[in-house]
Amino acid sequence: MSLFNTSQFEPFINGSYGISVIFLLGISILTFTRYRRAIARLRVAETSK
Amino acid sequence: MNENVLAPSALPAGRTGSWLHKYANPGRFLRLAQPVLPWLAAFSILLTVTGIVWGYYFAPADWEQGDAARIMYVHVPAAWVAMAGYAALAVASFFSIIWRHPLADLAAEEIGPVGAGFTFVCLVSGALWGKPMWGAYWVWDARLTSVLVLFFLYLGHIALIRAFDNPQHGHRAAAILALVGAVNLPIIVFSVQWWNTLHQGNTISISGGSKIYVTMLYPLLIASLGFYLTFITLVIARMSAAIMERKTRNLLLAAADRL
Repeated sequence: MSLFNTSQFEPFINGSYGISVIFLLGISILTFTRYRRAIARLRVAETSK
Repeated sequence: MNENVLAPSALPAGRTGSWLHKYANPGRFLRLAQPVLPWLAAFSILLTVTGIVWGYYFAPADWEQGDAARIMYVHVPAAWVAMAGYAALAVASFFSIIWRHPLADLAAEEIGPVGAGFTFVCLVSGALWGKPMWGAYWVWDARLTSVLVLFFLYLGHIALIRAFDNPQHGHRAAAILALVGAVNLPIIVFSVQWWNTLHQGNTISISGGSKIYVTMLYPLLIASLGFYLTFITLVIARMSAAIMERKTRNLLLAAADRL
């Protein structure tokens, strides 16, 4: 049995998980996009060499 | 065109550093990293999602803190990765200063923003845990303050590495900052022992005596492994992208010279 009324914690728990998921998704999407763009640009540069 | 655009042959590789130059060659790094990246990404997603979902939905509530303890499954992994990331940054900076290897500079440049992001998540999730437990989002406690200093060190490194017209000067200055800042890592780890902090003491110990039950330990370890793998995947992907970007720029410059 918790010492606290745990339902009052929900916004804090959801906020913590929210910021973590947004960060992980955001940086992963940005990195993936940069990686794919780098491959595509290198391919174009190599073919036009 | 020389494929190894980041490690020109003119680079002096002394006897001590010759094996490093052989195995830390950017071209070789790219050839090794590209087939490994999809697997790393798949395991990162699998472990991170498993750890987070387990912690959020299925792990038991703490007897004292209740459901607020679920914040641990994102806060602690983010904190561990933030510190490990800075240790990796310091090691890369050491290699950069001693052997002047361009791959070490590249690693340091790409670790910075990712590490800063994990540190930010650690600070925000910690604040959101602190409010219901301590009654305040922030206190100038030794652990919290030293992690905030870590965040500023990351930001300083990101800024300094890009602050010079000559990129080599930026890398050298940022490497010195990273090495000096490494003194903050033991301060973070031992702050809860050296000072009487509001932040709780170490719950998990590698040498035994962990104060956490296995039903909470397993999701924490899985989430942590997921966060570590995510960090490694992101850094390797960003380093690979940076190598390809520089290679593209060199090809375009060479093509422009021929015109």
